[in-house]
Amino acid sequence: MNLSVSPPRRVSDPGAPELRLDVAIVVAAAWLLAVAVAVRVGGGWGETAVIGAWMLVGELLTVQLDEGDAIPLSHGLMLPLAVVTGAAGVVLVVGSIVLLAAAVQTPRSLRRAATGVVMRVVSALAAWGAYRGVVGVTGVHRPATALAALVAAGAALLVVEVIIRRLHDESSFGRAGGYTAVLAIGASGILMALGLHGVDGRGAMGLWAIPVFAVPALSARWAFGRLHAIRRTYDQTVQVLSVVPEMGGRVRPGHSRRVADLALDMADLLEVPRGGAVDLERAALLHALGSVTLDDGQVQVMPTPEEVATATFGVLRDETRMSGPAGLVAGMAGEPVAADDQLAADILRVAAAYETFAGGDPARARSAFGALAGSPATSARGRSASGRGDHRVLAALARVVARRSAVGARG
Amino acid sequence: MPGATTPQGTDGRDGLARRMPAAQRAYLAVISVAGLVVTALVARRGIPDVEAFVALALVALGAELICVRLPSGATASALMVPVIAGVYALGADGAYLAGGLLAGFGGLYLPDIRDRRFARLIFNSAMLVLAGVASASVFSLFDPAAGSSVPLFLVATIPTAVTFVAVNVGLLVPMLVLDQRRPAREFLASLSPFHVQYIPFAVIGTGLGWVYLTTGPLVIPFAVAPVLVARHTFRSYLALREAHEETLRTLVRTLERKDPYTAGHVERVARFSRLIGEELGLSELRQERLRYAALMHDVGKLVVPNALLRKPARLTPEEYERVRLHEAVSVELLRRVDFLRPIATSASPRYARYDARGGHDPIEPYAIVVADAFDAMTSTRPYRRALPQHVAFAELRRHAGSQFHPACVDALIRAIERRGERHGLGHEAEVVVFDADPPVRGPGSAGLGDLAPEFERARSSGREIDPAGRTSS
Repeated sequence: MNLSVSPPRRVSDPGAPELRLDVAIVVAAAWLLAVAVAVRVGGGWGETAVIGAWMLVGELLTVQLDEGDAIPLSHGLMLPLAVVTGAAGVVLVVGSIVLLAAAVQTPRSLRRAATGVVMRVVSALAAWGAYRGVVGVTGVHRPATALAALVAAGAALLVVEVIIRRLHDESSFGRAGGYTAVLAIGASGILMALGLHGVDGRGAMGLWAIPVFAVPALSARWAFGRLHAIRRTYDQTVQVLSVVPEMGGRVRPGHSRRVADLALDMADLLEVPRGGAVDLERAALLHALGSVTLDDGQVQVMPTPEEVATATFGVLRDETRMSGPAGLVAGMAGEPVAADDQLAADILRVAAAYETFAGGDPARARSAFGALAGSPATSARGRSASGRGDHRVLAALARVVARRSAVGARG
Repeated sequence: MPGATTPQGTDGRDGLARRMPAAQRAYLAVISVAGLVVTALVARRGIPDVEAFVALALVALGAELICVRLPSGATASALMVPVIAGVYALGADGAYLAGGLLAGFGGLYLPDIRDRRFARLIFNSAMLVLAGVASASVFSLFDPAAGSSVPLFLVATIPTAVTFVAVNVGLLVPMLVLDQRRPAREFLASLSPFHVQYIPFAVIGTGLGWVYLTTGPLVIPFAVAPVLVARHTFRSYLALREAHEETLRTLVRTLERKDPYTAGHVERVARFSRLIGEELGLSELRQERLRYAALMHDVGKLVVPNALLRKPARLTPEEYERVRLHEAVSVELLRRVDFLRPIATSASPRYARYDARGGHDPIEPYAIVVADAFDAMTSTRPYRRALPQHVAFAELRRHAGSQFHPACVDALIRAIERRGERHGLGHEAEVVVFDADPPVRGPGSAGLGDLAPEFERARSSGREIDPAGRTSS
């Protein structure tokens, strides 16, 4: 029994930066003082300062997506800011709140803060420009034109932000429902801006519009927070269960993780949709769990891929909902699966069999392919119901293995 | 995204379909007639703004159509948004009409119409009409004619929403009691956690109503979009939560297949832990964490060779130590789940001894250790019979303050006694039939917790343990 628990090869989510409470209190006090002075000065600067104060709060409250990505609620406040101030005000407020937020969070990084300021100021100016441009043409005397100007500002903000993100670190809002979070934050921002001054001065809520219409965005943030937390717990639980068979000596160390990586690379080549790939990774990590129930006498040597799949299916059999990862493992064990899952099940079956023979050693690739050719994983008994997928799946495996060998040789 | 607890929740959508008893029919008739009379009274005033009324009625119908079913069986919707928006936007003349009729539209759940479940449809609509009119009455107290004060309307939002919920739940619970013959407190317990969640929807409704007056229906999509996003995300959360539950059930089945002698143990420990958590007043989040940790507390057993777990003879001291290593493995594995890391010691009675740490850590590990020990004592194992409940209680009390956390011991005993439950000899819920020959002494956390001290004493004095778990020279 191997008691050394090797860490997961992938960290699913580094999580949000932590808030330094002591620094935050000092910064908040200084900021409130500045707001109080600005309000006393009056005019547009008073409104701008209060919106800026709310923006600082919004900068610290983020909608947490997976893979460490997060969207601050302050994005929504760019729209009321565009309504009340000019370009200089936008630069001053957005720049200062991004810097202040960076100061109260750890880890702190000057380079990261400077990059953040530039990115956010550029996108905020785009929103401001779009709003002013539409207002210059249509005016804001009717509800439709007021809404059109705000929608244009929101769209400009989003487009510029996406472009900058892609140029900067190739991340995008497209993962984990990011665009739906943007929609919620943007719609809240439009309502805030609309309620702030009303339409042509009628129906203005004043600065009360900010907290009132922050509620929809906060509701979305709450729901995303729950989703993020359960996804993290679920994935970490799956990772924990994936190391159990290797700790029990039923598979080679790292087997399940290697099967998952291989299956994901093959799925990428075969254009399996993102949702299917997520299930595939979880199924690969869990596929060997049942091997720990095999009698010790049965497994003097490593169990075969078919024994592993059958044993795992044995513990999944009672599952009422044989879909998702459970459905893929069932398919791996030769059970009928939904047509949409067939390709992923074939990938899993072939990847697990190959990895069992190769054991993570590139030098064994050739012999592993030889063993695979004669194994039930690709023979008539283990073939998918359709029988059509094998050739593509094996070809994808060969390409992935060849690509890794090439990278390894260069490295 | 919890919202309005509507009557098509736990009543539930599946209830009221069969033939109802007389008392239930009478209650249905009373609420339906009251709803109809109130509807007629408010409708006599006429609709001051037909366009606004129709637009918000469509939102109310949509809110119910996309309601989310919660694990408790209740449903959650955003009906509060159009109701409060209507109460505000239709002004003093239309507040009652908006509150009553818009809420009533929420009862017109389209699948009920499709399936011709008219009794439920009428009850739900009538109940919501009464809740809507009651909340509009409260709103009227704040003088909607004042019109210009946002803070006033935000203040008015809270009692208005609370009244809606109170009438909704107050009328719904008797129907649930009559329909399902269960105590009212069970329904109140399942509905109450979501009451406070009405407030955000009421605030959104107030804002929507205010802006609607100047912009008209154009603004509705902007208020609805974030609510739809929150709903969609919350549904994804529920689906993922169910997938996680399935994974934990798979873990439990794997454990039981590997070690059939302790069938049902893990789930019973999770239940006893929950009883302790409830008794100690832990938050919903901590209760969930407690449950997950209890279900995973034996995960390390999966790495113990089957030959040891099922050995039909005495374990040697070396074998015994090797089996006990599973506790350290469990703690290490639980530490890898961020949510469980603060209570990872739940997996080891040795780490979570009260006298070793003074009970200063989070209380969850102590709760699981008490639940684990209680189940071990009150379950029959192949190597010994279950103890009677009063003996198990006495053992827990005897070790309270040393091995066990006294508050957890008190909480478990209190919870079991108040429920009138009986466990242990003669009252076991699961009678396990052992196909294999029983081992002479059983390992596994339940058995280990029981036998370990005796085994240690025996080993130190050079004695061995006989099949009944007694020491012998």
